[in-house]
Amino acid sequence: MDQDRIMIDVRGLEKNFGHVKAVDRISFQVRAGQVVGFIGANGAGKTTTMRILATLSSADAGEVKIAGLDVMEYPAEVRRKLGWMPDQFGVYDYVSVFEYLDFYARAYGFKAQERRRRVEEVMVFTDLATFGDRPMRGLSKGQAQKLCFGRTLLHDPEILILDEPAAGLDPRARIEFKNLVRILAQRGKTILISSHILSELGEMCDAMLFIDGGRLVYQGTASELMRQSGTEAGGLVEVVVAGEREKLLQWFECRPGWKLIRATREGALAAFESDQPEALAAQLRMMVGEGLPLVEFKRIERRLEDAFVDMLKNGGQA
Amino acid sequence: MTPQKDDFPDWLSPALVKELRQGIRTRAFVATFLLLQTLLALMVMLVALSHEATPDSNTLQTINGFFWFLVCTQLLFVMPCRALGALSSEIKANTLELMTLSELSAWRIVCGKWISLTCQSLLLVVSVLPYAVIRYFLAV
Repeated sequence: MDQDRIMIDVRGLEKNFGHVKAVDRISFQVRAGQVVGFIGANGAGKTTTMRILATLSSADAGEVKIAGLDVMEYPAEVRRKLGWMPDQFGVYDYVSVFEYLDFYARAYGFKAQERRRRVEEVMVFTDLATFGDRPMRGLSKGQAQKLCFGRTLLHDPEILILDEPAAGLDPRARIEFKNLVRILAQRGKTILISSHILSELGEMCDAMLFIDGGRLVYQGTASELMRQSGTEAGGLVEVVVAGEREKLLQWFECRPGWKLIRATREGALAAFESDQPEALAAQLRMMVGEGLPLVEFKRIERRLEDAFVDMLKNGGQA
Repeated sequence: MTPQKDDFPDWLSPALVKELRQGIRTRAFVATFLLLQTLLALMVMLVALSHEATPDSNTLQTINGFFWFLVCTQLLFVMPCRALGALSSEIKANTLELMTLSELSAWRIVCGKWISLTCQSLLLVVSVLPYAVIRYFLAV
């Protein structure tokens, strides 16, 4: 697999619904074998963008290429290379799990023995092997998601576009799903996966795309985002004092190596240049030695969500 | 792994296979079929009883008319109504888009649905034949 090969190439993509700009000139590339998280709030433009990539919707402007093929000029060829999993999909009430996969395997052109083999492979991979005879209406939410995921994999596409695949799943099902995605990534699939939960994607994605109001506000890795928000390089600390909050705030302003993030009701949130326990302990001793009435000195693990919110406040970067 | 019988050959359209599997299991078809059989059975019994008791040509004509009314209602009204909703139900259920992403063309999807509904109609017609034969021997 050529890891430099660009599998998803989006340039200047625009989509309007009436006077609403759902996607506003976004551009990004996804290389072969990458797992890229596509993150944004509800209504940010994730699904609209992904549906254009999946050839289900047309763009008003811009260019989209999947494995080098323009989605508007070669939709049939693009569909063969792509697996699309929508966030909402229907079920056939009276069709069993096996029959559902068998139908799509036939639809993708698999014949007899090969079709049976492929359906069985997918059922084993998605842990649905024991549910072959169960009608789709009898499946739980998690099982139905796995079935839809299995359908996405039937024709062994190079590229997977997954729209909020873990939405509505319980924690165990989410972990199972993440494991499946990891296995596919190890097999060299290129995966674009959307969610509005950063922590879910932060662990499994090589890169992230943040979309807000139809615009791409950030693209890069999670660690780069943390660095840009100014906190990953050091330790984040929450300090609570008994009265004299102003004295604490002035202390943070004057001391080298400290950056005051914000004042809290009873103290402050600040970042120190180092997150090493010994360095923070030295700072704690200094604060006590200088007479600050400390009640609490707590190191805070920085969340990706916090970094994202800070980045949005600072105007974003893409 | 549950062993699955390969019940439909490869040369049949995938859409037709899916519709045949699904179509005869739906509540609409099962209810229609059972209702038709029940009414026809009752009607034949009524014909047999009235034929023995009082072979009144008016009564038999009425029953005859009702027999054809039942059959024609199913074939000319109920089945076409099901056909009308065939594609809209796929759209409402968010299943049509996934089908279009496969190698199935719109033509094959529509043909599969049409042939399936035709087969179901033929099944209804075949199920009515015994009653038609009985009517013949009862000289209705």
